[in-house]
Amino acid sequence: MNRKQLLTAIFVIGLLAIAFFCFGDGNEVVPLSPDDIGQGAQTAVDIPNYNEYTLDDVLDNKGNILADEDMAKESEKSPNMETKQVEKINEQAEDKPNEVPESNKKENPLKNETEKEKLMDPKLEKQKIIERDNKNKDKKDKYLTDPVPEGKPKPVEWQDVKINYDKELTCTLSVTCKSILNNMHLFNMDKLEVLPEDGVIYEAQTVTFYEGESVFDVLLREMKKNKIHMEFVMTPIYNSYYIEGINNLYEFDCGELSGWMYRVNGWFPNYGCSRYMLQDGDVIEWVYTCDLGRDIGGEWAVIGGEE
Amino acid sequence: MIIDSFSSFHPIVNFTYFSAVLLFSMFFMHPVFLGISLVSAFVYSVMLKGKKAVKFNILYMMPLLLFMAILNPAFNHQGVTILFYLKSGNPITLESILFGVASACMFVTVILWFSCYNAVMTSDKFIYLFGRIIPGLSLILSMVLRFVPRYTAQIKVISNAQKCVGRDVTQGNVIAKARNGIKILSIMTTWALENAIETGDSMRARGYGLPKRTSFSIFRFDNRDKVTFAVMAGLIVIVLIGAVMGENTMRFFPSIKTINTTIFSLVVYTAYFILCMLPVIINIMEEIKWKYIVSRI
Repeated sequence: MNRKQLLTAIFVIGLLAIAFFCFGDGNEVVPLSPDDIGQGAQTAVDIPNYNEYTLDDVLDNKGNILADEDMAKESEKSPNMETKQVEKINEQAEDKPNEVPESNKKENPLKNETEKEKLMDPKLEKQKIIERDNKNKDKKDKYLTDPVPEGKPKPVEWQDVKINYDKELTCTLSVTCKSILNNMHLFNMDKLEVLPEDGVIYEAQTVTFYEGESVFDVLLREMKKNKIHMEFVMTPIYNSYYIEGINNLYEFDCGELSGWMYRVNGWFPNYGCSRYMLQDGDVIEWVYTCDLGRDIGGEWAVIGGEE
Repeated sequence: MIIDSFSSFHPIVNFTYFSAVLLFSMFFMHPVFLGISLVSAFVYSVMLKGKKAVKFNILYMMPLLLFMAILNPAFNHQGVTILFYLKSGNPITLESILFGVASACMFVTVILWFSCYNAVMTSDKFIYLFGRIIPGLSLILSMVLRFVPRYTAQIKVISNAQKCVGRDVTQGNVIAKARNGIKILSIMTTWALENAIETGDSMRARGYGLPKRTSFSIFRFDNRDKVTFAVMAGLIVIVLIGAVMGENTMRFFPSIKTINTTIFSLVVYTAYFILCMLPVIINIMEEIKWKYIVSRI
């Protein structure tokens, strides 16, 4: 009797082990093509004036939220400039893969990084991230946000901001989920009918907003206006709204590491979208990630980058 | 009220029926299946308990159903058909409302089935079935299932005894009332613990769980049980085949979608209907037989 039980136990354990090794991984995430990621990074690199501009603006806002009339005129001009530049970059990005695909790969360290990560033990990686996080504990702000890199806008609490409805500004908004198309093996097939074929839910277009509004406000208004479904929830610990799903594409619909992230002017902020106060001419991109941002080049905002 | 002849069947038949019906109504979210299950659970509970069941179903189950149906769309905003927006900005969708209604139906149905289960599967039947396979667990289960009615009865006894010495919850000022209430609760807890241990000890003293012991009630698996069990097994197989073919479920999110109704799905629906109504059918047949015999005397 005892031997029988022992044998059964060994058999069950063996079965579990076989199942673990055979079916354990099949969930590898395919990153987005380097061109698609590069697009955002280049916008940040190619427009050096841009960051200075936003920084100045933030400084101005600290003293006086209502900007001068001259400033307003300037900002009216800049969006056109912006869109032109973005168009140019788009053209460049489209041309590049045909001309110099190899150099493109070299330029982009992301691919090498992901290969390294695959080699690294996931447990070790997790430990490293936790260690790094603990080291930074004192530097974090009230809402657990790591220090924002220099030249990038600091988080602004939406409770403190008074929206100035008299002043209309413009920004560019887009919502895409191209990463899902590369990872259809992880995708929740029930949602197939709401997945756009080209991965574009809301094409990049110029939208108006009022001074003092956050990325979240703009997204909510535009999604409502265009009758695109969207669900969000308030997370008081980060003092920000969390976007659970857009167009019925929810977090975790494409693997357990998937969800919505946002990028402003090519940078993934490391704080919530309600705390990012928009400046005139900002380029907001909402992107779906299948791998905690690693597949779209936004891993720094989630898990911190190695220096 | 008709005498429930389904209760007189072999415990295996009863237990298989209830476990099948409970599991099916928990997992099948198709509206037809939900409807069949809800209606038959309602009919059978009324048949078992008469007017009391009707009152309970309408007084408690209807508000519960409405509450559950409203609760879901308040927190779940998935779905492609946006009806209107909440003040916070989240959408209310048709799909989430329908899902709320369906899950509320399921919830109420399962409660009704459990109320029927409690009336039919008495503890001696349960012990007869599982006393030898899992003696400890089946004793605990049969004791736990009796907790609520037993404790309410015992609390009444304690409170009456306390009333005699002027220490009931109804006597004295607010502080005294609270103190008396806590005292009654403490007596109750002590009694419950002691009683559980006593039951366990007395069961052991009588050799409970030892091999070759007979049970309190003796059931025979006769021809009537065999036929019913075979019919039930056939119906369960048909319903399970339907489940494998995807006939019994419905996709709610992001949009509502079911498999088209074919002749086969109609077969599955009827099989499920007969399965759920089996005790009711048996009871009515017995009743007709009885009337017929009586009329011939």
